[in-house]
Amino acid sequence: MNISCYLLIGFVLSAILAWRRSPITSVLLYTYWAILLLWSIKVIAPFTTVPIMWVPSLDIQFSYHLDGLSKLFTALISGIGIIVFLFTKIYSQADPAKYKRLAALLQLFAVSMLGLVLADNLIALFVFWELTSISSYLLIQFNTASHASNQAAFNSLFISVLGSLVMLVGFIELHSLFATWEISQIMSHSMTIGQQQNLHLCLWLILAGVITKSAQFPFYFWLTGAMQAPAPVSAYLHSATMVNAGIYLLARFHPLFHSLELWYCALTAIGTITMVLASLASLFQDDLKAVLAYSTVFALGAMVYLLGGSNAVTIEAFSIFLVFHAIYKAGAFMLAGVLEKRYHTRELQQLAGIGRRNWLFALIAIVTFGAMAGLPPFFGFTVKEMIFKAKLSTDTVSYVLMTVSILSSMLIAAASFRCLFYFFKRPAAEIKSPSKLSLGLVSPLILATLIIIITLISQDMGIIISPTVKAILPTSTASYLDPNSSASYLLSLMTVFGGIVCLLLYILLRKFSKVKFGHIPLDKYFEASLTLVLQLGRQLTRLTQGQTITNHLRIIVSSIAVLLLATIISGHLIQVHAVANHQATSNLLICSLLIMCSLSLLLSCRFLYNLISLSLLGLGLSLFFVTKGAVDVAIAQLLVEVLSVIILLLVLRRVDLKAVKTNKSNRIINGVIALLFGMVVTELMLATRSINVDAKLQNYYIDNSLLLAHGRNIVNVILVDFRSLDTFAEAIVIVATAIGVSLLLKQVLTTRGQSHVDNT
Amino acid sequence: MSQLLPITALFILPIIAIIVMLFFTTQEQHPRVGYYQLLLCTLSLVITGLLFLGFDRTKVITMASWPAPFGITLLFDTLTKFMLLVFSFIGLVINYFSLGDHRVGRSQCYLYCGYWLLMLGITGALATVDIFNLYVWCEVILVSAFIILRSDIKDNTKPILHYATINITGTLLLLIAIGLLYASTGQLNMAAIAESIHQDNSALCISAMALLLLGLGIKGAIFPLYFWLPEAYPNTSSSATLLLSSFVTKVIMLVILRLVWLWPPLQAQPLQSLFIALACCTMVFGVFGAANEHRMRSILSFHIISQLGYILLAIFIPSQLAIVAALYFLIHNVFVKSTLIMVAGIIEQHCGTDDLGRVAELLKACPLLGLICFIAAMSLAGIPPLSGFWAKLLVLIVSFTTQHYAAVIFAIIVSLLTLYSMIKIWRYGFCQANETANIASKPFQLTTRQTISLIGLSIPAVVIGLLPIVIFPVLERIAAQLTDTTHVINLILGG
Repeated sequence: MNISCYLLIGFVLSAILAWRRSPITSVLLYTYWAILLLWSIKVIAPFTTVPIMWVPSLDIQFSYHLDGLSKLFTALISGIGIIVFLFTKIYSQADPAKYKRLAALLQLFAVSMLGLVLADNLIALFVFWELTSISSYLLIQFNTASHASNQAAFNSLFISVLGSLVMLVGFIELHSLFATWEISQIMSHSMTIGQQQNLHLCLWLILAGVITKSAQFPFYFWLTGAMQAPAPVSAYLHSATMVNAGIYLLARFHPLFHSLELWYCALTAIGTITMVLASLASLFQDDLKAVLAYSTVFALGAMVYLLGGSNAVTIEAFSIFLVFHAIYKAGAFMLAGVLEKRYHTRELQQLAGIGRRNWLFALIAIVTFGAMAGLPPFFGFTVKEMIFKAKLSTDTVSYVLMTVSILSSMLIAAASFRCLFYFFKRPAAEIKSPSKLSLGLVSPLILATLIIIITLISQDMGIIISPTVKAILPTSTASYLDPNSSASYLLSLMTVFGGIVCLLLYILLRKFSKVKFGHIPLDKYFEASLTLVLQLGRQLTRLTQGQTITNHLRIIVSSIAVLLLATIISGHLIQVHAVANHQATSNLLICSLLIMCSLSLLLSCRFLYNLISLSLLGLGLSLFFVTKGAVDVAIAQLLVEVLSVIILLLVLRRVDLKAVKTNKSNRIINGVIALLFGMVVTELMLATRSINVDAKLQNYYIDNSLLLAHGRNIVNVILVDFRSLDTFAEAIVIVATAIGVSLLLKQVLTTRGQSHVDNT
Repeated sequence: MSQLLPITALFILPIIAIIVMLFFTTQEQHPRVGYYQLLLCTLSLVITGLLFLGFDRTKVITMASWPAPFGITLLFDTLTKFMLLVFSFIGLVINYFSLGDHRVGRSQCYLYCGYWLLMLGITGALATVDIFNLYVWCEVILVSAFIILRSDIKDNTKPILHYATINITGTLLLLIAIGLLYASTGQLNMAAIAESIHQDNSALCISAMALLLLGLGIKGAIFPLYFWLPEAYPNTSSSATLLLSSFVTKVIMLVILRLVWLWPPLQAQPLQSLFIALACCTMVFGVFGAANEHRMRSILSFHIISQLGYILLAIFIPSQLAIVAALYFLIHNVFVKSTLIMVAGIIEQHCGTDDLGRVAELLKACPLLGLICFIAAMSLAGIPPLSGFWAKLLVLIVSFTTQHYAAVIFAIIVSLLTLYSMIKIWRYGFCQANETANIASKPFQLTTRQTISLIGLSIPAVVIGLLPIVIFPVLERIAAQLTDTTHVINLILGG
């Protein structure tokens, strides 16, 4: 089966899940993901990967890149997916309608995520990328009526779309460099120096997508806000899979970019800052989910930091950490979800003593939170690799970085110890709900078992993970993993003891002050800056919108005049024109009449005077036409002027015209605008005089009017024959105007009739 | 079949329809007039469909057989034929929707008259290659828009006055520009004008063309000439908003597209930079205006402006792909924006208002409406794989590859703010609880008519989003035709 079809089936399955809930759909769902899981660990191979063309003219197709990296992510998505779906079912047993929506959206997300990690075409990848954002949005605002979840959902969507749009430009730049959307072809392309230069820009743009999606500084606030979502969502999207999308992209592009200096600098810097801030913040949270959220941010920072390196050790550490983190963090989130469901709280203080009541819960909590802290039997990988890396490169910066990262690991260890401490603390008061933690623990139990298994077979992890390492770093050969080395144990122990020391320090600090370190209200900054932009927009809009018609006309006419003036100046059209003056005296008289009329129109503030000056202006124009020999035009002009004045006065006869006054203000501005516009148009008119126009059109009409159209009056022939379509359309305009007038009259009469009825 | 027959029918049918509708205006409310109207719309869809069948064969018509450039020439190329098909399809759906629009009320027949006048104006404006003829069709569109705007039971004289005043100014500017062009080239035929631009008159032609485009720009609502649009569109019946937003500004954009590819100065400096800058400003100012509105239809009206900016940007980038981008954007926008305005109209019918401060939790009240609104809103915001994404992607690609980096940045910012507005509609209208909202979200069902009209508009939008391949070949054909300027000019002048 083609894998595109399989993805399509996944989307259809999502629609079916939204539609109805039945055992068959559940079976279908589990089978769907089980097949993928088996495929990703190479048990079965049912899929073909023939690309399917989507948009041929843009070379956009559904093509797939299957290597260790995408297989690893597929395994994570499908494996944890199955467990999460199981958990979801138990989690929302009470409310089947909600389960339908939750399951459908989770399925939509999971398939999109699957597409993301499999796609080879950048645009297809982007499409899946945005689909994960949008399904994450819908999942965070799952509790649709609440303000907090809506705000958090909006923040997450806005931030990830912001990043992804910038990243899209990066993809377009890659496309213009390599003339292909296919990642595999881009990788195998040999580069020229110029392309190397442009790669920096690509990297910057793509990094924007990565740091927003994978919740790096300064954008990680969306992830901590996303804790509004139900527990299965947090466990799946916001710890194990979606937030890893950015990490995936980094790993995918590692071969292309890792030779750049920028790659190392940017990733190390971003990763370190994120690690430090998140680990510090995580220790000071009282909300269990917030602790976990910040520790997720820390882990993501650590992964970015690790990907900055390009030796096999770090990449191997990255791969193992990725898997391990996904498993234990999903488990921890599920535990938090179970507790929230049972005790309706996520506050650590109120959860005190939970671990003493239920041995199964205690066991799972120790395993998952122990793994998070890096207790010796479970975990020793990342920290060890960091020291290896420091050994390899000996400059001081690396040592500083190493110290900083070890310190933040200690802080995270302290945070998880703190959680465990509360779980096993003697409760101050009896906990209200005495009911047992039941079935909900099944899914975290599976994950805890997985953690133990991984710990037991940790020697072989290097082999299991080697295809992934090879995908990121094609040159690597052997496994460098040696969990039994003394340095590893030493460092793990050091972290554990450091964590305990940090916890004690924290308790000491808490005795004296309530300050929360590491918590930067980035979400408030974000919302404030968005408001600022909108305020700016509001001010700009207020300048122009909601004004009077006169003001709008002022803006329109003056801006057109200015724009025209610009084209005139750029075209060097300004010349000194000699005015031909063979009819100087009559012209002068008419001109002075026109100018006087215009002035009185501008200066008078009585409506009646305005009307009279306007009609005088028209009369002056018709005089002008007479002097030019266009008597027919003059007559038409005269008729229009006279008629319009008469009609206007008839219409307005009930209004006391003396009382109607036009606005006095801004008359100077009006004058200036009118003068400017008049001058511009005059300039253009005068410029036409210097051009010898080809008189072909006129001559044709003159020659053929009688000959072909059988009419002596050329104007008539033009109107009814040569350009009859114009006349036709003008007739329609008149009909349309009549229809409009009749509509107005009808409406006026009806309202008058109604008011008449109301009065009687 | 000869293409002449459907083309003639295109001009005759609206006139017959107007006459039929005028018979009904004397009566109060004729029950069957709506069905006659639907029948006529279907007929017009069939005619445009027939015309589109031969979309590859360009038909040049010289009115009264006067050879170009002496008479008036109409050009029925793929662009004209395809857009007429799209427009008459949308017209059918909107007319169907308007049967249940109680804000139209007694003015129903007048709305239909207005619609047919508008169709006539659109057909003329799309087909003509004579600038004075274009001006006359623009006048037809102007007056018909006035009738359509007025068909509302509420009194909206003030916004209409606003609309009329500014648009008549635009018409006057058009007239001045046509006069200047005629004075400098001695021609009115667009192709002939293109042929007679030479060293002497090129500078003057540039100014005259700029004036012509700015005059069109008033009608096409570009920055800083768009002020009438946010005043007029929200303050009328939703059917009227639907008709105007889908047709009027879009036709102007298509006319500009044709002019850009016929007249070389429009693709050269300084006009190209000028209009790209104006396009960017249009995008930004439109979206800024929308971000501060509270009524759904006001928000959407400002977004019309912002998206006209995108279209204008693509029009002024000289490449084949840019034409595809502009046309795709336009078609996507017509369908998606109409869907959203229709959603707003339905909300207004059920709740009495579409003010986001006064309605809330509509998702519970009507899930289907919520689903359609969400899909359409996300499409407008450019979320893949919906149609808005391809529109945005194409515009980004063409502006990036032609080194218009500022335009790329503007497009991204505007796209984000569009997302903000769309989420605002979704969040406050459909999701979040609001104690101050005085409209309780009592469940309501969509009527069959509303459902069918919504689906009729959203299905094409979804289809061109999921499978752009259904529409791309036609758009590429249009782009290929338009870019082959010499061929087009020879066709017009030789026909």
